[in-house]
Amino acid sequence: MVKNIGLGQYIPGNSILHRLDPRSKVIGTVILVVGTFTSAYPVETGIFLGTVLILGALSQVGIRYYFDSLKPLLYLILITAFFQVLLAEEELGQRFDAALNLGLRLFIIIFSMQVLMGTTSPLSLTSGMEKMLSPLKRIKFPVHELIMIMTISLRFIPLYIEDWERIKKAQMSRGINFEEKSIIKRLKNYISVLIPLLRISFQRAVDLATAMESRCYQGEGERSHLNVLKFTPYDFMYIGIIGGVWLITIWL
Amino acid sequence: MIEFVNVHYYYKENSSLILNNISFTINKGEFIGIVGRNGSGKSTLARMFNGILIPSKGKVLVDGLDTRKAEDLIKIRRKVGLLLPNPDNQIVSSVVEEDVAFGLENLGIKPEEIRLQVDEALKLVEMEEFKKHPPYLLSGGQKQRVALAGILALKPDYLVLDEPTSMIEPEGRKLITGLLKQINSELGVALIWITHDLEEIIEADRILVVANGKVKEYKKPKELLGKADIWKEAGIEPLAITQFMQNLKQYGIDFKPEEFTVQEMVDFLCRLK
Ligand SMILES: Nc1ncnc2c1ncn2[C@@H]1O[C@H](COP(=O)(O)OP(=O)(O)OP(=O)(O)O)[C@@H](O)[C@H]1O
Ligand SMILES: [Mg+2]
Repeated sequence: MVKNIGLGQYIPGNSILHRLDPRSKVIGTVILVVGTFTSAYPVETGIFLGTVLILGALSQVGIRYYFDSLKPLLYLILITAFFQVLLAEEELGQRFDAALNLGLRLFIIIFSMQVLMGTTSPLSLTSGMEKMLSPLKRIKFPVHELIMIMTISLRFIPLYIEDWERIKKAQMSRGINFEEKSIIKRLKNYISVLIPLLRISFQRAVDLATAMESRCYQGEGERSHLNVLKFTPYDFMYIGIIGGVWLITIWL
Repeated sequence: MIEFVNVHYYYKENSSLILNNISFTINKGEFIGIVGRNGSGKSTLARMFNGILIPSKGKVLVDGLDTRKAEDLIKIRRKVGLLLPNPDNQIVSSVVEEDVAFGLENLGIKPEEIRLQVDEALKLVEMEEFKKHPPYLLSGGQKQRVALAGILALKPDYLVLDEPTSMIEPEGRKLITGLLKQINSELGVALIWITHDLEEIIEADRILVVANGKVKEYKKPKELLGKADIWKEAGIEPLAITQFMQNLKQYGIDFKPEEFTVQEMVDFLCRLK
């Protein structure tokens, strides 16, 4: 169960969207988000809605994926919309319109992010980001370090969650109760998990540094990559189509 | 050849010496076992072979390159791989093949070349079918083999193994032990193998016993099986078979020679049949 908690719920697959370069998907998502924010309701917003729904279908990750991960956010959208209806000062009809407008925009934005995360593995997303941010190196922005931190976090977060659960179980078997009524007591009990966790994490960090250095890691330097990102004609088509949709909404 | 020349080591100035004036040499292709009690300094020693730790006094030379010279460290680390006990702490990437590629990427090697070496290394450790897997879905033994592949991809001449099976489930151990011995005998990679398990290094060419800051050298462990004092100093349980024969001795049954491995005992008993 713990094993499913990766960052970004990537669903492995082989759809057109899966095969696109992560950079074009990031660019596409940015266009969709910005476009949706600046779109006029309802026609333009509707065009964006149609676009993301088509993308959702193309992603072939299944409606369940979108529904499951959208569920908690749907509540947020509904509550926001509800207050909009309740508190705004316009006529009731207009209020509904405004609520729907807002809810729809939130939905489109979240949905487009879901398409990105569902079809792009975290690792390829990070290497895409590294490439896209690399111009920032010229102004001494630590792109390489940032990406290395992201890569290692992706690798180690599931381990920390496992460590946490394991230590908690061990402490429970020693009679420590994590469902204590008093908050102070409960906090104290959680410290008995936190301290061993810190010790283990420290050991992990020292070992990792040793292992990385032993494999000739030397900071940025002249690194190369096993998997080289390459734009294909499909990437240009993808950006072209989404950019085109945006241009149409601007022109409308 | 790796040479330790009058090496001293302490973690902090004024604290006691962990290693006190030790010298030894290891040749290409050798299989060396390193044993010693908990806290005797084996892991400290292991980290000096590739310049993770630098001697406080004295020097370590790898094929003539001095680990004290920072500009030679990359060359040294390409020659000397280091495998740690816990595979989880050594794997950098969340995809197996990307992790195996890590060392080669650090050297700026061309992608096509990396691809070849990665595939070769994964094949060597019998993990090629898992190359697209995330490490967290693998067993401990499989993860340790991935970590090993990441080192082998750099084509080292020497492999320092710090208790490579101590955190692996028993079922996974045999495979790793077998692979390592194969890497030694077929590829000629020298093994410097730290362990608490005599069985693993029974075929070693030599052993080094670390105790009280000193390192003592001995010949083949197989010829030392009856020497209880050596194993006591090394904090190592004698083989079950040795204990078995010593107990038999109390009843007047005495095998000659006294030193047997399990396999030799099996062969011996089968001949009686
Ligand atoms: N980073 C450190 N700072 C200070 N002292 C250390 C450090 N690492 C190890 N030591 C000390 O150095 C001594 C040798 O430790 P080392 O880990 O080398 O022993 P070991 O032979 O590998 O033991 P084990 O069999 O338990 O793995 C121990 O007394 C240990 O407490
Ligand atoms: Mg140790």
